[in-house]
Amino acid sequence: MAFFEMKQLKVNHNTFDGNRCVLDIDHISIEKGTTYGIVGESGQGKTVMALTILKLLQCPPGEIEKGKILLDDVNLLEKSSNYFMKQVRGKKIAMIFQDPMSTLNPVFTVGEQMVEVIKKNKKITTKAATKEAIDMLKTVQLADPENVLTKYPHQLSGGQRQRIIIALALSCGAELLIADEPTRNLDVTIQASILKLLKKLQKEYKLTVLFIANNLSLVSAFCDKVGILHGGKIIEQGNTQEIINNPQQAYTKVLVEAIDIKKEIKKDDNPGDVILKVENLKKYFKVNDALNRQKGLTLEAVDGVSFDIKRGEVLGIVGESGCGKSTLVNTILKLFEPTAGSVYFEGKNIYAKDKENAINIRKDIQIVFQDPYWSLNPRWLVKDIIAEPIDVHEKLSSLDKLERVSELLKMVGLKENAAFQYPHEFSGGERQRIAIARSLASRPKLVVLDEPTSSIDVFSQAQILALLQQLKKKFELTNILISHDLGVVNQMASRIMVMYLGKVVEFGPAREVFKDPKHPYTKALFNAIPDIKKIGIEHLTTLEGSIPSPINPPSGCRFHTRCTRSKEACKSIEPEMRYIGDNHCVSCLLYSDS
Amino acid sequence: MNNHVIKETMKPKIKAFRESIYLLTRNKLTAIALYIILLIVLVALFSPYIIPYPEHISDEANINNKFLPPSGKHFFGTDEIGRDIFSRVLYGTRVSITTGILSVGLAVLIGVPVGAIAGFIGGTIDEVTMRITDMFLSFPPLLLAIVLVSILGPSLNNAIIAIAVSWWPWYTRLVRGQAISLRERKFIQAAETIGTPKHKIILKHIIPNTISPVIVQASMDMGGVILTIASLSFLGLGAQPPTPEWGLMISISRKYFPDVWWYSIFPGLAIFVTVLAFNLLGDGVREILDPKTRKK
Repeated sequence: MAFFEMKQLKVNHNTFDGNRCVLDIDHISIEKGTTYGIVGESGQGKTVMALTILKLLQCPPGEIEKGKILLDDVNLLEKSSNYFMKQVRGKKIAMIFQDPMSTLNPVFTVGEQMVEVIKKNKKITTKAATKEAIDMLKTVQLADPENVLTKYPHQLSGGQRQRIIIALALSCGAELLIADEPTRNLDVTIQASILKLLKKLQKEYKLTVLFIANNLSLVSAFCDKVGILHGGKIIEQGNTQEIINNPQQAYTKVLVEAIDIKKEIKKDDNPGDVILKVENLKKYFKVNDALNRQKGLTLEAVDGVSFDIKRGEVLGIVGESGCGKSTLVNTILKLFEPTAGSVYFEGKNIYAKDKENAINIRKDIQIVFQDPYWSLNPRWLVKDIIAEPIDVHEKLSSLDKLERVSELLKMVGLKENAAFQYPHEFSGGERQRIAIARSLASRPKLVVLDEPTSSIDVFSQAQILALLQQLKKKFELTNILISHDLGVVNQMASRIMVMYLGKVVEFGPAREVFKDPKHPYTKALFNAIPDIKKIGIEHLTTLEGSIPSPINPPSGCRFHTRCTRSKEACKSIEPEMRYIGDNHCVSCLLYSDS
Repeated sequence: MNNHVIKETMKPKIKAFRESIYLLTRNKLTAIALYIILLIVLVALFSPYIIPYPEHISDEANINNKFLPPSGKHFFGTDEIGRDIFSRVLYGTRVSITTGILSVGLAVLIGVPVGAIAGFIGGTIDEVTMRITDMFLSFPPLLLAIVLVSILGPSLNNAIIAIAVSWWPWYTRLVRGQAISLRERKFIQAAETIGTPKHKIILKHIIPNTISPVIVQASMDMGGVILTIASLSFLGLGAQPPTPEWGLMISISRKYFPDVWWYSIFPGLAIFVTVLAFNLLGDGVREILDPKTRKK
């Protein structure tokens, strides 16, 4: 008898279009002390499953048709909400949600929230509960727990908040932990440290973990068994290594393929002349710190970045959130005025106050945004969305326009009658195709891809990437690709630029950087992502601390506060870009002597 | 071919309309409100043809029939100069609905573009607009309307203008807030990178996306505005006799209350039902359009 079981569970959802089955699970069983990973993309029923187990599913519209959820041989589905409140939630089953900010109450300090929960559940005094809370924070390896207790959630970083959530989940002695994408909104280096912590706690407390994730990468490192959830059904389950080495279903194969970031990919690029030249670009923002009553601070989002792109190549920009990559491209797209520096497109300064030039630049440089849900106006028909650039730059009759739109739709692999539909009728992948069609409508020369695949499911990801490569060839496009997904960068980019806190730390040919990263930060970044060929999470590198604020960046080398190889000199001397090979340059003092 | 394009363009719009009607009528209370409003609008449209005594709309009097209690001949009784109150209450629907729609419409027409411009452009324009709305909002709307009508001179048209003037800042505030959050949306940034001119972004991107909350606010306001018109008329600042306006009728009937109870009760009921129906509809619309209260 397994510790936790789900049998013939069927959950429906009542909607405008009738009754829809959202979860149909034949059998899942988890032994005590092991980790079971559920992998599925958004909309496949992962969260519905977690909510059903905790009896938090909203009914209606939800409806549990039949089935059993057994915890220690007790069928949870037969129990009342009251029983759940008193006996199950927190005591037996605890949940870690993906967004720690919305799980913590912003108007109370961390201490108040933790003490409250511990007091309620263990019926002890405030003093004892506070002591317990401090102990719990120590267990989750938070530095200076007494101080953390007095802080409000917004004063802490994402990683710290997630640790607090874990502490809360464990504080009442839960035996089953449901972790719903616990590291989704965190940077890869922090993600690795949270995973290591979870693994350690699991051993200490003999926890059983149901780990929910949207790709195999984390599961491969973390879970003993894995189940692939697709369309509400478990289509394949078994030991993690077996599934990865020998996937049976086509869908699983795609999932496995998608996480192999270090595979060799042939690229045939023949870069031409320089199309875009960025010289010492700086973008500072003026900010006021209302909390500390400081005015006129400057946030150095992009601090002196120079590079050039040759016609026909794909430049990949990587870095964690807050490194300035989005600000950099937004400045190149003229959504922001630069603080200093200049950008030349085909030899012309794009910031020059020349009206005709300004319009032409708009025509030549386009962008595809990350989130296809908000990059299309929800109240426009697809034909109007795609025709927007045509309206601005060319005068075409409505019939000619429609013809061009159908042509573009066909090119991105959508049906012609998609023109007369609203964006909400399409899936994420299809919406991204619409966004790509729009970006190509004005026949641009340079297209910026801002995380083009990170909000869409893995299955569509591969197709979108193939489409982008095909279109790039057809229109002879040059691309700037921003992504935190190194697999995507590896597949697309010919050169890679790694940014940290507004500065470029490493820049070189993609193949070289992937094979042999030089800068300590690049190394940490690349090694924080689980390698499917290795078992366990011990091989992952973690970076201590969080990214320093760009308002008051560290002196000298900006990475020295988190660098494992930092020397005394790193604190004062700002490293310069140095070539260490053909086209490969690094900004680090480790390489300044050679 | 061009006809085909128009037809295809209309299809999804019709489908969206059908879906919203489905959602509206699914909530029973909202459905009832919707039917009442439909009835009120029909009455307003056809009142001259369906009321039993169309001549009683004006001053025409039959003093012999004065203060007859409700009966089969006069459902709601008669007033101080023998006019049929049923006919006048029914015709009053027309007055209230048109003035209501005109005032709210005017307020939306002023408020929405100003709010969209202020929110999208920001900076000094935003600051100045917001301080002006603050000035308007620091008066209770009814009081402001009374002051304005007193300046302009009492009449129904002036009442409409006064109400619109005291109501537009609410829409400006609402739309400005929406515009500020929309400004950060990627499709607005996409439009900027495409090179779409600012006025087009405001007109075609910002305003259509603020329509939902504006509709909610407008349907909630309809009841309040109808009530305000009645209040102004009651004070002698809105409709003038012999216009059959509900508030005005109640104002005149005051002298004869409670002996001639039907004279005040029936116009009062008319106001009550209309305002209630609009408020219920407003709640229903908000439930559909506001994702927070939406039940799927």
